[in-house]
Amino acid sequence: MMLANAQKRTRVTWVDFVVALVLVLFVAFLVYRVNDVLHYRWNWSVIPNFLYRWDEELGSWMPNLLALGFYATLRLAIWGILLASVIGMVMGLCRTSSILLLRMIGRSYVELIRNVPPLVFIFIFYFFISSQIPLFDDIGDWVRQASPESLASIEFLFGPPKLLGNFLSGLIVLALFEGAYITEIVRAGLQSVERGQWEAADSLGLSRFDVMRYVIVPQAFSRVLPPLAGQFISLIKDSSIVSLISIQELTFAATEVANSTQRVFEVWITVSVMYFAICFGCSLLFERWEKRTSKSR
Amino acid sequence: MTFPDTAPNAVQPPEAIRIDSLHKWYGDFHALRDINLTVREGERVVVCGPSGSGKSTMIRCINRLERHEQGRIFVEGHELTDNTKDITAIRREVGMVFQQFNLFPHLTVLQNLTLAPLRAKKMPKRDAESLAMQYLERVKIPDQAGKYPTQLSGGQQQRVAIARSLCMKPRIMLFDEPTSALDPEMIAEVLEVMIDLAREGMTMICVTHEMGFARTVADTMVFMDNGEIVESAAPGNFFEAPKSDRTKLFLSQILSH
Amino acid sequence: MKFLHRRTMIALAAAAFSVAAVSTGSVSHAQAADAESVVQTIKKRGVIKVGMSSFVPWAMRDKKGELIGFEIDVAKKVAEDMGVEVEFVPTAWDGIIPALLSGKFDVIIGGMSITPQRNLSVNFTRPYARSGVGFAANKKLADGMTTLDAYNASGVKLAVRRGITAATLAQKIFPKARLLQFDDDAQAFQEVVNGNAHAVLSSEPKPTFWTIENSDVLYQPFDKVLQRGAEAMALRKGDPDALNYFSNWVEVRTNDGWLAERHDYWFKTQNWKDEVGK
Repeated sequence: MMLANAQKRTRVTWVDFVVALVLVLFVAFLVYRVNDVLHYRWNWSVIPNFLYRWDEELGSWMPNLLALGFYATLRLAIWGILLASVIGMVMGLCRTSSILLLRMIGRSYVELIRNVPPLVFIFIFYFFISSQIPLFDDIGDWVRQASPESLASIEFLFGPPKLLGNFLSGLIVLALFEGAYITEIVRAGLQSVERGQWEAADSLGLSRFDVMRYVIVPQAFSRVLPPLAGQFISLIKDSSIVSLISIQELTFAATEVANSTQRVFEVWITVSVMYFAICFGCSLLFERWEKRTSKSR
Repeated sequence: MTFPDTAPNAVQPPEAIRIDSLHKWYGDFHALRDINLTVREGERVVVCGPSGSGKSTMIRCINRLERHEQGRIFVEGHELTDNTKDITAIRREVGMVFQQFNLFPHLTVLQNLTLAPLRAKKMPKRDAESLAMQYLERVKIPDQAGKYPTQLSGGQQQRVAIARSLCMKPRIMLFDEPTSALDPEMIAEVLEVMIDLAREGMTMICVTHEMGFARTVADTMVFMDNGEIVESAAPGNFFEAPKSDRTKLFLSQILSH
Repeated sequence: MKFLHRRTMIALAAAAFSVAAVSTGSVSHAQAADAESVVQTIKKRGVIKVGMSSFVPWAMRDKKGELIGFEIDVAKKVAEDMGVEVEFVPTAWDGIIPALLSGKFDVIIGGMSITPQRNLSVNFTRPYARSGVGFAANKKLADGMTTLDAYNASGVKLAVRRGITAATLAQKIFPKARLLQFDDDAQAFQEVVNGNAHAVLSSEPKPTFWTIENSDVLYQPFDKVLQRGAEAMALRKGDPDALNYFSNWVEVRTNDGWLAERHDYWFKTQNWKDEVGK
């Protein structure tokens, strides 16, 4: 059965040739349009410099705006996925809890976030809530006095220390926002586990925690991996909306470089390749993980 | 099975389960009507009746997979209440085998068996595994320990499920139609394990339509219909001289086919 | 689609913010209600935080990725005169006023033209630059269209950057034309170069620079700017000390010719072009 599938997939038929030909023609047509109709003079020479530049004073290669933006997006993505997963797990458990108050908290959270546009949510959070909590503004002042070693580690983990406050509020906004969708995925996963599994685990006299930890969650987890991967990829792409609150991630850096150099197409093509790299990397990772968990069944 | 006020013998084993005036409703549906039942230690009770008669609901009340609305249930002298700790403790004393086996598909056979001893009893891993192997041998499938449940036949899965319950060394075993989901050729291998268990003196309540098995092991037959216990008697009387017309009708249908 | 109602949302957020600010009176510890002037805050901190947004040649990135431009010079000079360090907070233009109001930085030095609407939510200093809204048209599409009326017709498409003065002006002068709004200037200009829009409106000298660079596609049909503008620093309301300090700084640097000299360097010459590495 497995073997038959594999053979089917690798056999090349005339349909593949036709599809490939159509694709090639389409790309050729696009290139023709851009060159002859759009009056666009391509100049890719500025792009490499904005990725990495040779610093003559330091005598070494330094990441420039686009690479820095790429790292910022990567940081946002990794921290965002971690934080959103924690929020989603906790809230997902709340939503399936037998305690009414917890269910209400979970439900309110999800409905509140899902029914407010992300941009409004970002503005409200960044301009009201984070200004009410002095932490976010003070953290910037506190970081200014930190020792060089801690500054270096902060920079590695969270980006430019001066913008730590911004980074944290952006990260929290992003995680809260995506966490609502992950909550729903977690809830659906938990509820997809058959009643019989709960009953069998309960009847063995396992504690509530053990039932969740050893019976329900592992089964729910392998079922939610595919939608979870999709949500994480959404998170990475959605991270560009936090550019509105002065977080210099990839989209923000691209806007600045495009504005300064006026090489609009080159910059945005480069940036889309970079987003693609992160997102595709993420889906490959999840594909492998999925295969591993399904192997153990 | 005996009613306390009509107990014929002076010396009797202690009560394992006592159900007093039990009622349960699903919304407007009156699922259990005034159930009274006492099961003594070592006693084997077989419960039969048409589908929807409340058999499963009754035994599921005993380990509180279902909540009862009225009446009282005592297991080993402890009353079932809303106290979660008590319920968990009682469940460790009461094993249950389900119609659909309900093995954990993400765990191997061995892991299915050791999970509860490891987590609920905090047994060392080595002890839990040797205990599990001991029970797998008793249900005659020690060679399947490393497989996942979906790789086993239905009969093998149900035997693993029985072994999984036994690993908690329960004092009472509940069987909820354990052979109904099996292909005919696999029923015998599961019943064989259950008969063995009965011989060893396990207190058992079995919901089943296997009347041959009932005749072999039951001390008491209980017939339920429409949420109530219609008749309960020793197997001899039950099969040869049923009192109620409903029992007669049921037996004629089930034995003829 | 997601960004369709962006301006509405920002207006909403800003409005809600002002309400909250007024009703609680303690929106932020950086807010003027504390009675401490932002000038003191800056001195204490030793750093002035300047909100800006990239806009050629006001503020842009050089080859090293560092900020350069007229405004960057201005902000650095202000910091130097105050004896503090300068810290730039590059901010998306859409969010720059709410960000100032919520204390994310001390002052906007971002080529912001004074308008009565903006002045309702922020205070402006004396203007440190006077630019105007310029105009560049596509040679082919807008061939022979040399009067303002020619562009005020249905079917004419005009590109602008969202939220800047030029966008408001375009709506006023060319109500019949269709307005294409973009998140940054480069996209707006590119649209005209590509022949998807007839003309673009933007603060000078950008239209002139783009026309010089794309002389085969672009031309400037009018020899005067469409509207004169005055750019000033923006501060939170209720802080007379800061307003006085920054206004007088502009006065002093206007009088000694420093501002004019810098302005000419960035706006009249293109000597800095090599730094940007176009």
